[in-house]
Amino acid sequence: MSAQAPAGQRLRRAPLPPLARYILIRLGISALLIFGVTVVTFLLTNLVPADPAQAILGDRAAGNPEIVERTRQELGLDKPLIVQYFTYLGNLLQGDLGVSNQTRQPVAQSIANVFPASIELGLGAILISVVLGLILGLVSALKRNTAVDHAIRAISLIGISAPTFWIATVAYFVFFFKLRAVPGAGRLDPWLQPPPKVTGLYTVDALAAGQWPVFVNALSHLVLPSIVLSLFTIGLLTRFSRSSVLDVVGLDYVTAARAKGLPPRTVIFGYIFRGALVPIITVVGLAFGSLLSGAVLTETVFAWNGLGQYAYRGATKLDLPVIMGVGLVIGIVYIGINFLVDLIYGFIDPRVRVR
Amino acid sequence: MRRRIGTFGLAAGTVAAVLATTACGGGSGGGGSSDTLVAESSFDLQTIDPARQFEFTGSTLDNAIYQTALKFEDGDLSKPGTGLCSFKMSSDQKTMTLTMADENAKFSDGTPVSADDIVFSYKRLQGIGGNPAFFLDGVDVKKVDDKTITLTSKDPNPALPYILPNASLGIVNSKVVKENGGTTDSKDKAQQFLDSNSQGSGAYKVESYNADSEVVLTANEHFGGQAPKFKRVVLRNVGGETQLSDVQSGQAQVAFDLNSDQVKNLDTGQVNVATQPSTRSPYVFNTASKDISAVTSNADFQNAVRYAIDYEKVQQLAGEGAQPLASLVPNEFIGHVPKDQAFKRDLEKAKDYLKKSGYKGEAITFNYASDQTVNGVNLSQLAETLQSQLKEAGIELKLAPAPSSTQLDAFRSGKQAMGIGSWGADFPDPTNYLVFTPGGTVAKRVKWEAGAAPEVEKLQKEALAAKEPSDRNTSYSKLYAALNKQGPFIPVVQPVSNVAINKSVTKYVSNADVSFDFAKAE
Amino acid sequence: MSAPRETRTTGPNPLHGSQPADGTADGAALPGNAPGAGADAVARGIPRWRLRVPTALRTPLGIVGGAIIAVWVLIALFAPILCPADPLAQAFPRLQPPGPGNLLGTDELGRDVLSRVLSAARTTLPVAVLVVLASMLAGSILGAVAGYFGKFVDEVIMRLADLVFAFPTIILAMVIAAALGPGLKNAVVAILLVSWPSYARVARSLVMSARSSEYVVAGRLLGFSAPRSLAVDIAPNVASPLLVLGTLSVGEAILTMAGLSFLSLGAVPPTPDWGAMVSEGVANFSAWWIALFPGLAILTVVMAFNFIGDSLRDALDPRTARTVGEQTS
Repeated sequence: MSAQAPAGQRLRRAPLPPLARYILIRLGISALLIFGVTVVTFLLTNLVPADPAQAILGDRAAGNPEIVERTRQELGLDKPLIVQYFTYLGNLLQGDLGVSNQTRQPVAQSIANVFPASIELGLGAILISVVLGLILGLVSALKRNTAVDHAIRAISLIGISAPTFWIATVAYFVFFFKLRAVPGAGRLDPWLQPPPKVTGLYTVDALAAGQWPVFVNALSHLVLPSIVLSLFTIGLLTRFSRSSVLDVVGLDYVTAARAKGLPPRTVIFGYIFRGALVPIITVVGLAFGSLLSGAVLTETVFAWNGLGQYAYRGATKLDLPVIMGVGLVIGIVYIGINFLVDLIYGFIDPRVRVR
Repeated sequence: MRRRIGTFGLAAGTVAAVLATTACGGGSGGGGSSDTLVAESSFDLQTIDPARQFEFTGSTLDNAIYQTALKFEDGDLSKPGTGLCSFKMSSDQKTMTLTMADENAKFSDGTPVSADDIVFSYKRLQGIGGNPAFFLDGVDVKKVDDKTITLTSKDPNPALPYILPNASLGIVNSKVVKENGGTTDSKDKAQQFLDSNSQGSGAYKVESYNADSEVVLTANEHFGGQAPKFKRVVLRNVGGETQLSDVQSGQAQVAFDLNSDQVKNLDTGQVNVATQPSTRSPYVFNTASKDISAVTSNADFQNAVRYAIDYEKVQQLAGEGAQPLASLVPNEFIGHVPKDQAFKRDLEKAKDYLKKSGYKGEAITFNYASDQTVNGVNLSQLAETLQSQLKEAGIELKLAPAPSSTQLDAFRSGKQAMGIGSWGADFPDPTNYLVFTPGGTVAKRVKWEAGAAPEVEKLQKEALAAKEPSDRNTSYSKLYAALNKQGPFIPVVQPVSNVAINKSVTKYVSNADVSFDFAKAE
Repeated sequence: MSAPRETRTTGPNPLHGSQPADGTADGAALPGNAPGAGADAVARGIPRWRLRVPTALRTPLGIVGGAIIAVWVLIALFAPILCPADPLAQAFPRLQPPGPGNLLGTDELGRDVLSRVLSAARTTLPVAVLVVLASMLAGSILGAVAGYFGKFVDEVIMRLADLVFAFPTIILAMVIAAALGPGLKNAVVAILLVSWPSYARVARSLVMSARSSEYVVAGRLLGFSAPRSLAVDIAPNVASPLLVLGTLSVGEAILTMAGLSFLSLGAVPPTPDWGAMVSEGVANFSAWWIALFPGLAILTVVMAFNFIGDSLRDALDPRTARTVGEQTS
């Protein structure tokens, strides 16, 4: 749905060429948003009415005021909030996200470890939802207001109505626990060693290293969680591609193509589909971003050691650097994808640039 | 509340269970390589630097990586004996002399373990001042010669032999640790180094370390003892339900965190269960301060709660093998109170006490950590059970769950009127439970200050003066029996700790000291 | 908002994220249409969509959705009569499978699962509606203010909205719930804080288009104050799309609430709660009935609201529908 549509009315004379100016403005806004994200995460995490130092101390140690004080110092909690924030920001500019309060592991490194897992799961899910979503959407649009359309609509609505954590549980129970049709939780069977790390995606790395059994195993682990996670995006993409196709169907060039007597298949794939593709690609990008950040519950059920689980553990253990690190990374991914989408629109639709 | 559980399973007289099964479990999903052991646990891992670690996962790993000066003979927690050293305690219980006893012991780089390593490791533990530093509070560590070390305490310290086998007192390679930022004061920087480059003389060393997902151990080729059958141990971080299916299907050989219901559902054709009484004691606490709650600080109200709890039902909830707890001290430790003296439900008495207390039916906020499980006892479930039981006596509880980090802080700040806590033994000695006597670390959290219960405090003095094991047993038992009849703490149940082991592991050792010994599994 | 589940997704806000750029653009999309349909309706003194709503629900999806909701509302109203047992009483043997004694089995504490599933409707439904109404109100007012006044006010409010969008809903809600402590009230606050931006965006773009329409301009020329202009001239014309968005969001609110309960950040026990029940069941697969039935309850309720919302959305004119649609799936 191209919100983007038409144009600004306020034409201003710009010293820069419009496209460059547009990119600069978008970059500026993105940077500002990222800054905002750091402020909000920082404030929020500090609102939690508990002392992170207590969360890592044993009972005996916590009974000793000296140890408590020293721990607070080590965590930097003894300084005023504003100083803490700027220290954080300063480190951040050097690419340092701090170390986890709990494990003393560098947050940036941990995120780098878990992020590929989320990407792999997200890619699996998005692949499934793109294929199914586009097909369903196209069919639905072409058979508009028929029983088929209604059925597809109902299915896609049901897909977005099921609680993921429940579907994940039910799917795990049925397909693994009862049927043994898929392997259990995790990314690999435990006795297999992960392939040498290149991208961090086990399937890709295993292929690159020529480890066929590892690839097959990683893929089989990926199937069920991907399907579960894709249920929601399938519904989304179905609806979206349906409306994009409907937008295009009525346009002059499609009518013209039909009038020329081109075969329906050519019209559908050569004209309608192609026309509807750009907005669909952008929504796929954004949906992917959300899958990366959003799989907390799915990852929990499937013991998928990704960003979501890392964030969840950080939140329950009150590990401020972890929560902030994850919030920031997700914010950056989200804002980055939006930025790209804006750019794509800027290139495609010149009217958008002028603002 | 949160304490290290684990290492110490039990106590007196428990015989190590060495089990050999001939049949190989059919469940092995195929492809498992025979020299790798996969174990699963829900991580609470902060570090495996022995001088800092204080959690179950860290202890489990350090037990396999580091050796200690003393160790429990055959896992019998009442018999601390020779480890790297033999020991002698002076008759005033103030000076312990350690003599190097294991000539074969070598660190993973081949260096033999020396007296300097032991002194450094102990001083480092004290100097860092982390969670386990209290183990050696007030102990002066001195090297006498290359074979001898003395540990001198100001006050009699009969608990020391029971403390030294703890995994936190594992001996590190002092030379290498010093080269990598290790010091004996709070400036020590060796934690990250030790997490991924262990420096121990145990059967294993760290191959890879990821505190969030898995730790891989590999055999220490310089290990002085018998080389382990499993050359590689993978400890993975997964939840209970996944552990259940993995250990059953043979994807994992060992599962550490099954709750009682899950254990019941295990297929005994595929899996053995090693059960040990838990060393963690869940309890209900009341505040002792009238300012915080006039209701729960009332002794009659506390007694009403004592009689209102249906201990038998709670035991059922905790699963097969759970026992009554007549004091906070587990039934296997010296100084425990015999379990037939445990409170039993008596609703009439509860109602009488309640009447005397002047309680008017107001709702009382009941705090607990909603995400915590104490050896299979889910605290949320326990809280809901207690709520409904106390209601039968006329006590209204308003449940106030919180994530454990938040609850921990709130409890320690001493402002809660009532709730659930739990204490895990740090070492199997009754002195570990003095934190519950007036003015003790935990007692202070419910504002039970010194002088609040003179009778208890008198018994405490007598217990501290006792030196002979049998005297200590009787006097501590008296003390804790008295503590149980009054005061703000009400022990609820002694849970069980279960380790599920796939039958593809044909031989294993599980005992009070080490719930599963990686090095001895075959 | 899309984010019913974990995926906050961008839902489809696809482009929303891009909002900063299209600030004016999406508003500008509408002017053409407002005078047409809108002015006509206003001329007759009737807000645009009112007459069409009943017809809108006469679609197969709408009818099914309405029927399911009706059933659940009845269940919520009469739960005390319908429940075979006290939902809080630990009166039965633990973990009994579904059978004649307990139709849907018993849970880990020996409570009747059927009774708990039924009574949970009594808290879930009203709270979900309430939280949606509250965030609709808050979001609409903020969005309307942004759209009407534009400039600085607009920038501040909409950038705040972007910020919220840049967080994964469930993590944000988790942190908020952790900060405030678990409990239904705090879960509501958390959901409120993460869900207002959708309404703000829709309200803003609708108000921007309405603002330039003739009847509003006329009012302003007559000297109407800004609040009056917003409340009297603009509000009736933007209310319907917002209500549609609201209907579509009830399901999502229920899902987010269930997600928080699943992570034990929702309703405080022993209050029966669907999400919390599923969470209990997850820890015990062999007792599959504990998780299955409350999950089905969530599924049916959310599905019904989505069916109705979707049918209502179809009744909106296409452009408005799109604005709404971007905020939902």
